[in-house]
Amino acid sequence: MPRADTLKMNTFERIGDWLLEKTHAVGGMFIFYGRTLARIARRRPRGKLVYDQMMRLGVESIGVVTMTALFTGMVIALQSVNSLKVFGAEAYVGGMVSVLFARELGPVLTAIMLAGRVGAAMAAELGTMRVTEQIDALETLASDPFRYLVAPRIIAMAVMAPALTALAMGVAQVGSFFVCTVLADVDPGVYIAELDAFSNVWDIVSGLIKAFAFGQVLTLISCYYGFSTFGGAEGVGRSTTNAVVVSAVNILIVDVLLTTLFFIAFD
Amino acid sequence: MDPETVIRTRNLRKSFGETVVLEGVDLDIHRGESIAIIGRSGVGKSVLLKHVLGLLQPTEGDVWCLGIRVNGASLAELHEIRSRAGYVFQFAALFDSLNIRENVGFFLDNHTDTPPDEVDRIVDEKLAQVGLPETAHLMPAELSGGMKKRAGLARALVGEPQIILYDEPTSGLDPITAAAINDLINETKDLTRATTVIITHDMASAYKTADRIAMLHEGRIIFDGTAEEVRATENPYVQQFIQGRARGPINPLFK
Repeated sequence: MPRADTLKMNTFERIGDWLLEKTHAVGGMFIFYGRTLARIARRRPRGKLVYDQMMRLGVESIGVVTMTALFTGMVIALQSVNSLKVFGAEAYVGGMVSVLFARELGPVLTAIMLAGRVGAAMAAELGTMRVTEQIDALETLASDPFRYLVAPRIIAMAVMAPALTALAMGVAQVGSFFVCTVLADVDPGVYIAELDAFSNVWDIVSGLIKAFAFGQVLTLISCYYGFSTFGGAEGVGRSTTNAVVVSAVNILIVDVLLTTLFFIAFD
Repeated sequence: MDPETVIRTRNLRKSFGETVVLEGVDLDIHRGESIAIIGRSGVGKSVLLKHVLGLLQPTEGDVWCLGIRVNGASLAELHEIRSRAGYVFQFAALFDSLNIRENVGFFLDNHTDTPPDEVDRIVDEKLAQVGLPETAHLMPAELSGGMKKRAGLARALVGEPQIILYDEPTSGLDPITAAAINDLINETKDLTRATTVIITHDMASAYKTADRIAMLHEGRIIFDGTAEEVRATENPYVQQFIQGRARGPINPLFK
C-alpha cells in the first residue's frame, strides 16, 4: 500500500511510492482476472446474463463503432488520395486503408470507443453497486460477484470486441471506397483490384487477436475500478474516470507490445 | 466450541491501511439470543457485522459463525454460512436492475431447484410477512425508505435463516416507521426463532428489540449486559451514550 504522508517524502521516495502503488494495482488486476477465469472454468455463468451483456456491450455499440470507422476511413482516404495523386498512385488508397485498419486502426479505434462507452458504464454501474452495498448483498445471498457480475462481461467482450472490430474494418473500407471513387475519380475496378492485392488474411487475424486482447484489458480494468470503488458518489466518479483513462492508455501499451511480438514472431 | 454459541469473535482486529477500526473484539452470541450492538457512528459496528459472514477478513484474530471458522474459510464454506444467515442492509441494498419479486426470490432462483411458481408463492408469503403485499412487480426505486427495508428483510428471510443480522434497521426513518420496523424485528424473531444481531445507535430500538446490549467504543466492547444492566451501569461512557449527552468522557468531535 502507498504511504499516506507523501508531502514529507523526497523525490526518490515519491518515485518508489508511485511504483509501489502501480505495482499494487497491476498485481491486484492480475489476481482479479485470474479469479474470474478460475470461476468461469469451474462453473459457467448463466447464459441469460452473458446474452444481456452481449446486447449491452456489443449490439448497442454498433452505432458508435460504425460512425467512427466510417468517418475515419473517409478522412484517411481524403488525406492520402490527394498526396498520392502527385505520384499517380491514388489507386493504392484502398489497399493502404485495408492494411491500416486491419492491423491498427480497426482494433485500436474500436477499443477506445468501447472504453469510453462500455468501460465507463461498467465502472459506474459496479461502483454504484459497491457503494450501495449491492455487491455485499450478492455475497450474503451466497452468490459470487465474480461469477454473477464480472464473468458475463468478460465473456461477452471476448466475442464482441473482435466482432465489432471486424465491422469497423469493413465499414472503413466503404467510406474509403466512396471517397476514392465518387470524389477522387478512381476507377472502382482498379480500386478493388489494388485492395485485393494488398489485403492479406494474417493482417486481419492479427487485428482480431489485438481486438480480443484490448477487450479483455478494458473490461478487466473497468470492472476492477468498479469493484474497488469507495466514498459514495464522488468515488463512483473517480472510478469511472480512472476506468476510461487507464483503459485507453493500457490499450495503447498492449498495442505496442503485441505489434512488437507479431513482428518478431511472423515477419 | 459450544454448539449454543453461534457467533464468536476472539481478538478481532481490523485496519484499513493505517486506520485501525477494531482493536481486539471478543464477543460470544448464543443461539436464539437477540443482541444489540450499540456505539457511535463510524466506530466500526458495521465492520464488525461484516466479519460475521466473511464480507471482510480480519487483520488479526478469529471469527466463527455456525461452527465454521470464517477467516480463511473456502468459498464453499462461506456460501454454506451465508445460506443459513440473513443480512439486512442499512439502505436495503436491493438490486436496482431487478424487481422486488426477483430481489426477494434471488437466493431461491440462483441456489436452489425451486420451480418458479413455488418461488413466487414463497416471495408473496415473505412479502406479506413483512407487511408489503402486492409489491412484487415494483422496482426498488418505486419504494420508500421504510418499504425498502421491509423488502430487504423479506429477501433475507427467504432462505429460512438461523441468524439474522440487521445493520442500522431504524436509521433514516421517521419515529413511527422506526417503531413499526422494531415491531417487525420482534415479530420476525418470534416467528423464526432466529438468533438476532442488531447494529444500532438508536437506544429506543435497542431497548425494544434486544435482550442483551453490547457497546462498541474505540475498537473494543466496553460493556456487555442486559437492558436493565445498561440502564443501571455506572460506566460513564455508556451513560453518556444512552443519555445522548455531549459532555462526558467521549469527545463528540472525535471518533
